[in-house]
Amino acid sequence: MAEEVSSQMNSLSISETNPSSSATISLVSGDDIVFKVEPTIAKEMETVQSFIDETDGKITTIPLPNISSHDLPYVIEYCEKSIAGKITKEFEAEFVKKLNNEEVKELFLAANYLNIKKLLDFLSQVIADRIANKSVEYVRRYFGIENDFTPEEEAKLREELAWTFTGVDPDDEDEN
Amino acid sequence: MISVAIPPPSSPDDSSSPPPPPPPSSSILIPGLPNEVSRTILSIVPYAHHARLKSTSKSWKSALSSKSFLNTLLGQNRNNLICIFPQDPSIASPYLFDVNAVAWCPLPPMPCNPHVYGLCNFAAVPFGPHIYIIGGSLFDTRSFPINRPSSSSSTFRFNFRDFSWENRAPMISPRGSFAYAVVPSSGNIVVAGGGSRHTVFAAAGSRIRAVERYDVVEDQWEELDPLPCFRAGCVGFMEREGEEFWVVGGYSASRTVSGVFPVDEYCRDAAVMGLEDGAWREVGDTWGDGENVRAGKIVVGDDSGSPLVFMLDGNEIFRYFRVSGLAINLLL
Repeated sequence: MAEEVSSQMNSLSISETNPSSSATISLVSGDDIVFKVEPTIAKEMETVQSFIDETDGKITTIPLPNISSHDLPYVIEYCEKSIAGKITKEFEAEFVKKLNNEEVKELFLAANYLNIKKLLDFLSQVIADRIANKSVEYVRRYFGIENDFTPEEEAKLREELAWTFTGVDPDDEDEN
Repeated sequence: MISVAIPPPSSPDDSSSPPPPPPPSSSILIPGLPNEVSRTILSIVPYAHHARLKSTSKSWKSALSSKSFLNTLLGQNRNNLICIFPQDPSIASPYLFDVNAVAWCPLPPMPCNPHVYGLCNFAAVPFGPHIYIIGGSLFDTRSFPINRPSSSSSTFRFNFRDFSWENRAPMISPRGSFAYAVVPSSGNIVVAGGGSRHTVFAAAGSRIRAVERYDVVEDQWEELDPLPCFRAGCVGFMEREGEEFWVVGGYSASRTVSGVFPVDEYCRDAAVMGLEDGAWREVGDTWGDGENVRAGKIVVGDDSGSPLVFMLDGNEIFRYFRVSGLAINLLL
């Protein structure tokens, strides 16, 4: 499984700003790396597709300033699998294993920007799973949320919670 | 012990929720994400964790407690809870169990009446973000003889938004051990039959025929055509996409053995009400021939909208199929 994935990663042609051929769509990441993808993959990314449609397919190089060259291959990999109908539980587990919390968040933002429904749903679940068992401090740190409660308000809120859990995760390894 | 699974109802809440107003800029849930997307993430987090996550920030607190958010949860079929009533809920706390998070939470006890105790055989009906506790049998210290159970007509509802109990309009006829079902299309709860029983001298209990419909929004009970015969201890469910209300099982008349011991006469048929015309018809023997099959405990499950009806009889389990009108013995 892992081998298959990595070979697919290698097959992505990554090149420094090449003139775009008519058969493929070039996606330019925020740090100016060009990724050539099949038009079917672009179809999965609603934002890209609508851009292509608006220009009647004349423009095939699409700048994606919000997405780094680190995240884009993951997005493309997921879209390829999705087109091939090969999104399995195993693939998703393998896919998410490679990502740390920061990357999940960035990918989520990318998926949200590109409007890829399936990837968004999947990553929503991943994020929900990752924050479900964590402390409030962890959740704040994870999302960069400012605590706008006064200490009294917060203490009162915490008193109200009455759920008893059978097992609570310790706050996580891969986060500072 | 009564437990009730709280499924996502297929209809919106009683006061259908208006679309959420656009959030003011101070109420960003997760920096960098549209609130709609953040809410989706939060709605996937198991319900038991919401109480804790409320203390993340003010915007999280208001998002997690908002009515529209609760309605989203109900519609999703992901965050299922089980509510368990180990004893009289006005004395002992009911418990919520979150299946996804494997977590327990005690609920505040129901408001209690100092004259009554030992409430049991009530109906716990999940509907929207509420659980309705309807009727039941109890002991009233003002009645004579003091240890004879009487039926209750009171209705309470538990509100998941602020975790509080409210008094609702009482039923017209008091009853416990009755058949009930939610009519999702019209926002009603129908109840049929019932009575009150003594835990020891069960068969000496009362039975009634009365059928009522509760309008959840108006908080009103309305009397419908009564059951074809007296019936208590019965189970109800909706059939044919909510067009029919079925009442199965239970017992009708009681007879006495050797003129002394009262014993139950079990109902082997089903009474069916068409909700459009409100007329009752009887469906013959639901549990097949087998003279010695005494209708035991009937359990109704839910298979995405259509009921699964099982009857437990000693070591045997029967399943009833409406289409063929036959019961099939599943296990021996």
